[in-house]
Amino acid sequence: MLTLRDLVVSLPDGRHGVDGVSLALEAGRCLVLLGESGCGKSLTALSLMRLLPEGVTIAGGQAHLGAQDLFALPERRMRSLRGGRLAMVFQEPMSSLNPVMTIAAQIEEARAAHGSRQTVAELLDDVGLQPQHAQSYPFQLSGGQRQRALIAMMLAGEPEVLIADEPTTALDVTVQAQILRLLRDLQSRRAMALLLITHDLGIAREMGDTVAVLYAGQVVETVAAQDLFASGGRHPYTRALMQVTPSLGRRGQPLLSLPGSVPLAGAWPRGCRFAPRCSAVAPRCREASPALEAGVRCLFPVGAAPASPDPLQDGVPSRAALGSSPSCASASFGAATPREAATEAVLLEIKNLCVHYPLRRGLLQRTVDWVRAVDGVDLRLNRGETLALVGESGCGKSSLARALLRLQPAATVRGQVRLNGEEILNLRGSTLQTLRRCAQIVFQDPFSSLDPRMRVGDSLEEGLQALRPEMDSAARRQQIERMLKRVGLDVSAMPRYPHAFSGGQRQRLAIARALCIEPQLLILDEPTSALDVSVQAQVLALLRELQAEHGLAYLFITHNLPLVGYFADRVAVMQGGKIVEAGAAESVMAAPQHPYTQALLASAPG
Amino acid sequence: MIAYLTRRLLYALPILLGVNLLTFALFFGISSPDDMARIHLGGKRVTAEAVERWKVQHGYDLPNFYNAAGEGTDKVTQTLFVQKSLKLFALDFGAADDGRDIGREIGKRMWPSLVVALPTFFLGLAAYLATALFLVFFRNTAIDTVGVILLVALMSISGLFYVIGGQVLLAKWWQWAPISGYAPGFSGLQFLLLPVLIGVVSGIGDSSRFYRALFLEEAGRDYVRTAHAKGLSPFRILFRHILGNAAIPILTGVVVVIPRLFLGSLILESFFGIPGLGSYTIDAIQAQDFAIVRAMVFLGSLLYIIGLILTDLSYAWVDPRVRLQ
Repeated sequence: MLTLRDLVVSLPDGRHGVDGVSLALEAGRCLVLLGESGCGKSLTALSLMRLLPEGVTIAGGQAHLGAQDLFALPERRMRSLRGGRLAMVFQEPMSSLNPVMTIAAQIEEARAAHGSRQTVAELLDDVGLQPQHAQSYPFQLSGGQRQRALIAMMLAGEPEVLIADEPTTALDVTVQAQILRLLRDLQSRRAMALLLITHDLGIAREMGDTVAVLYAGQVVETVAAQDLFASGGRHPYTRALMQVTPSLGRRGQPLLSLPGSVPLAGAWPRGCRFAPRCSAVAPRCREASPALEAGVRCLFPVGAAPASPDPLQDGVPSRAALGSSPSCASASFGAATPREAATEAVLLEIKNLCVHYPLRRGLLQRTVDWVRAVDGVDLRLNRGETLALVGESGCGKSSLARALLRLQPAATVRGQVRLNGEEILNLRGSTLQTLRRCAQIVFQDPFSSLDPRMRVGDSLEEGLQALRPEMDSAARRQQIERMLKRVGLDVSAMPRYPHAFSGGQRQRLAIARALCIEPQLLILDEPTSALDVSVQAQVLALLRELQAEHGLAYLFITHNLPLVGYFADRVAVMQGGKIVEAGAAESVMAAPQHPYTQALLASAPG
Repeated sequence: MIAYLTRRLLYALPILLGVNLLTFALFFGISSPDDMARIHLGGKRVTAEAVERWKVQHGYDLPNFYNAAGEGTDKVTQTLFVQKSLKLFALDFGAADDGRDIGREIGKRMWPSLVVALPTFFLGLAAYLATALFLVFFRNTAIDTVGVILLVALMSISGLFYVIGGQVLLAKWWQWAPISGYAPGFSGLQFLLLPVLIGVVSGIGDSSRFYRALFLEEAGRDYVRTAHAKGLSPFRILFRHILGNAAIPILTGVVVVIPRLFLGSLILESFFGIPGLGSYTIDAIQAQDFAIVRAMVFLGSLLYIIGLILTDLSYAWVDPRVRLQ
């Protein structure tokens, strides 16, 4: 129905962001475009819509929707196809909707453009929205409702092909499950072809009929979804992707650690583009660029046929070792025993912690009510232990973290928090500094949590100066160098600015910054959710090692359940400001007791 | 909403009081009434009696804050601060040095100011928006590049040049309109042509460039991409989506100046001989008539605060996120 052949997308500087991608979509089927950031997924999708950002151009290839040549159509005819036979849903439902127009007006616009047979009410009903949502503005809807509204707009033109670019990445896991169900439902009801773009293997497994794996601007493997998950794929990158993804089943084992990160768009290495990160690389790989043959772009693919995944078949012995290659993290890893010996000491004890924000109304701004962000939480964290705090957005987990670090206005916080047996909620002045020395945080977004106008060395030194006044400048420098080395960077990082580093490197910098102080408690607020999975595995391995070395306690805030199952010792599930279930991670993940935990686990894709 | 408005108006009171105190300090602390009298009487050979007489005539023979000689409330009210500064709150501006009532003068001169300022404001806004939309529609083409260069050239020229150049070209050489002057009613229309035109043209570089930047910022947003993906025409996207959202910052930047249109334009009015509040202020400054200047400073602050309150209200009007939360 929709075919794309040899698409080349040229970036403003002339380099190629997509380099020869071919795809084929069929009615009523779902093709998943799987890949990490910067591999060209979104550019491919936007090329099909001819909505590339300014300066980015289609430099080659053909796309046909039925008999229509998409790249040759005049803009006016293309416009009638957009939102008509060919529609697209975007990642960020909030920013993708016009904030000052009602949902009904925005749907009506799409109807008017394509002479839709369905009314606004019917379209809303199709995507599971209530009639009263029609007159709402986007900000009045939840994330899931916004995404439904966006889908309704795109259905107005009765599309034959729907492109969905990471449609659930910005949503909570339970909402994600609903939206995916809706998409699958619509796809079969309307016999649409669905092109689903994602970085999430779980979503690919759940939604895809066929999966095309993208790496560095090329399709490296096209495979039927069921074969992919039965055999683990034939391209080393596909296989690696499967093995870097944390899950409960991998608990206690090291994840495969892919070295480096996805190359930047256009800066592709010579020969096979995956060669520099491939553990089974042969000299030929660095010379010859493999072609896509029988669905795999590799000189030495695993297995002759997807049905018989025998790693030794093509005579490349190192391939078998992929799962436990030398690049994997050290053996110190599964060693839970030495940690357990030291864990008995309680580091952090939280009793009946509340964070209540006042709601003020009226002429005199009197407090009429309270928003109970955190409402009576009891938690305990031992030395050297990882406690995962799990919950959906708005459940109060970030307020809790801020309260623990005393970053929350004191008037909003009640309860008891003891760190090393000392009550910290009423600390002031220099004793508060002592707390800051003991407890540090790593934030979610490594791009915005480092001052872009400060050199990395200065950023790191600033904290040391404030919290470790006993150190002189030579000692501080030594400490920074040591920590940079420890997180896999070196001294050359110090005079550089954050923008010179990749996301994974920045998160390492953020960890180094926190660890310079030598805290006992490290709060990790979604530390890997902004990172690619292959980079996430590196960061997790680093965190594990540091914990074993320094006996650090982690409060690991996340919404990623497989990650909890893989990484945490204990888990606390938070809903509406309260802990609804807590226990050993393994048992909670395997046999959840509370209905909310069960719902969360059932929603996790894959 | 009413509670909000009441609160904003109450907040405005201390601000105005502060403005009042500050202007009082500037006018009476830095230069004393004695200095004022000497300036007006002229020269160095002014006798102490002449100074006293001038002060009595103009009501400056009072202590600053506390009148020990007065009785009862007079101790406080018979002071310069109350008579000269606090009375501004009641819009009682007192008399100018020539004895005329400033309040009545303002009421009279407000109309010529408005007759020039209102059309300049609205025609200007329309022209700037149209120019900016035109350039954004042709963004990344030669038309846009040439347009921006032109705008930068226009904003690099001094405002005075437009006035003088316009008078020479349009009035003297081409004789399209009289060089300057003013008449009330329809017969005065011919006098407005030149100041309004020049007022609009002299602002086009700055404002159009600013609006163009606002439109471009909106044009790069995700919802615009969604609108394209829905298959809407570029006109509809520009007018409905981009203009609708850019209207929020534009409107709020524009509303704040509306109350101050009463005060007119200092330059336009004095160059075109329009008897409005702008030329009134200029003349007062030249004549060192502090009473008028004080009144205009206070009026300016008052209208500015009203403008800010109107701005906040207009936010609620154009932005449902503010209105409905």
